[in-house]
Amino acid sequence: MATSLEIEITNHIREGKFQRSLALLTAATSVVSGLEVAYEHYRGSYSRRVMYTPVILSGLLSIAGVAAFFSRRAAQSVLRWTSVVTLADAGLGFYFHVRGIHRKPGGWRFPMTNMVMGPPIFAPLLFGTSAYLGLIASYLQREEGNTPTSRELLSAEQDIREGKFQQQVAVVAGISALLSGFEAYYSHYKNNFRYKMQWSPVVIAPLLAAACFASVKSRRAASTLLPAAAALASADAAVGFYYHARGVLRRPGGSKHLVYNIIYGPPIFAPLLLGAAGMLGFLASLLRRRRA
Amino acid sequence: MSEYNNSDPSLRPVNPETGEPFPPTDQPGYYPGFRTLSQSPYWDAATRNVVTLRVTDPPERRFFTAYEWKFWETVFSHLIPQTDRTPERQIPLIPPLDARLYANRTDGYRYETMPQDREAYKIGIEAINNESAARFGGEFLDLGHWQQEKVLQAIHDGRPEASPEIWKSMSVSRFWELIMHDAMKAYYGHPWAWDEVGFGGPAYPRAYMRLENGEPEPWEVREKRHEWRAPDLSVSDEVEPLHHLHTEATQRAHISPLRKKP
Repeated sequence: MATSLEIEITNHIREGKFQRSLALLTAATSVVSGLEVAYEHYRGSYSRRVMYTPVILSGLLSIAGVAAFFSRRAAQSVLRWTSVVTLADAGLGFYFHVRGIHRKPGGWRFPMTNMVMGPPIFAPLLFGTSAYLGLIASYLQREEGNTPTSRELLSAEQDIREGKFQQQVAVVAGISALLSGFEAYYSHYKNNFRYKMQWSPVVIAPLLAAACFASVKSRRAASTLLPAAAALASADAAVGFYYHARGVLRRPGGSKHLVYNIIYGPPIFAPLLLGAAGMLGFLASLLRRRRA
Repeated sequence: MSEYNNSDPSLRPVNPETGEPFPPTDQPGYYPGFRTLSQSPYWDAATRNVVTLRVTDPPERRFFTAYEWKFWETVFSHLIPQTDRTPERQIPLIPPLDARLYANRTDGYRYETMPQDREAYKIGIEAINNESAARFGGEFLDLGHWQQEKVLQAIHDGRPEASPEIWKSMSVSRFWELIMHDAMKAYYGHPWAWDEVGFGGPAYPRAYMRLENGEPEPWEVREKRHEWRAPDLSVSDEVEPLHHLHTEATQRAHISPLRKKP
């Protein structure tokens, strides 16, 4: 039974009136990915100055997200441009990570070893997820829905304003699922899939991606398959987060050397990347499709 | 290679279940089918060359006389018996030692109770032969296997009966250390010994990636333990029972109750 509040929320999303909530979500995801990149780059000794940029940008993006929650003007200016810069930084990071693997002994001749031991290849792109959310948020209407439409907007922008961008979010969610599935695959390969559970993201991520890509073609897939796959991925992310946290605590020293064990143990926030893909999938399933 | 070929089953390790000696194999150890050399494409050219030469081209005799070569070959076959190996897969221990002494390559330091390494290997023969004569009335090479074991055991234990003048100028325990080190360096520097102990060889440029919980690398072989007993004619068969600790995982399980606070 849907309560009246649920119906109201769903309608808001359908109509693209969720700028404030999405801005807040952007801030929250940005904090988490900022923490992740901070300690991962700490492991890498911040050996290049550019490694500070995602840490700084995720901080700025969180602030911009909170500002956008309070102010429409902030949403359309600060949040939008911080998101664009962060997305560019994600692309730059991807380039540096590929080059980092190339520069390890043996380079791409030993792709598995060097991807496992080198910089995580797709992590920078996944870092861009929260920036993508921020960018989308900057084009939405506020929940109150009293935004004056003073100028003729580009049609793509207009679609987003009206919540008609299901396909776009589905594509992004699908790509994000594939990337985080691959990250899970080689990270767990490093551990020789010691626990059967380590196979779950490797299986579920392609399922979610398939549901996402099916949703681009089919409205029915978007309203049935997609939310189911998204729920599965989110549940798996929660389970993964639990296991990674437990793995950290089970290391010698446990909670006594918490920071050390977070840095050297299983990457504690990594499972949430699959959860982010699941969340994008949910969002897509609630949106409307573009005008034909 | 060694005089102690595999014809005498009493010199081979025994299967405790059947009480029979194991037949000699191409590859003893717990890693059936693992060949370190199969990984050589993943090493750099210089390393690959060095390691491959150990198998294909052991150094020729240049320092020892033919007698000395045979003498030390016999002694070393007691230090690291290779009776579990087929003759063509026994690891030559004397060629690397001979090459080392010929080039006079040392550790870079010397104990004051020890002569130069070259000298130690010359007077060591005399000392061992004197010990053989004192105990069993013959030269070392003429003794039976068990008698040779007893002679070497006396030196290992630091209680030689003969040639006090030699042992005054050369520490017994340091001498034992010297020959043991040379035997081990030759044996465990050889890729066939790596097959036996499951060592993957050089880790450059390809690195190890499974660094925790004792998980094998994708190209490694899982350990397959089996029980064995020392040969019947061996005088040193004291083995510490550590088999239950043989993987890191079980070691950890063993240690973790100790970590828990009461």
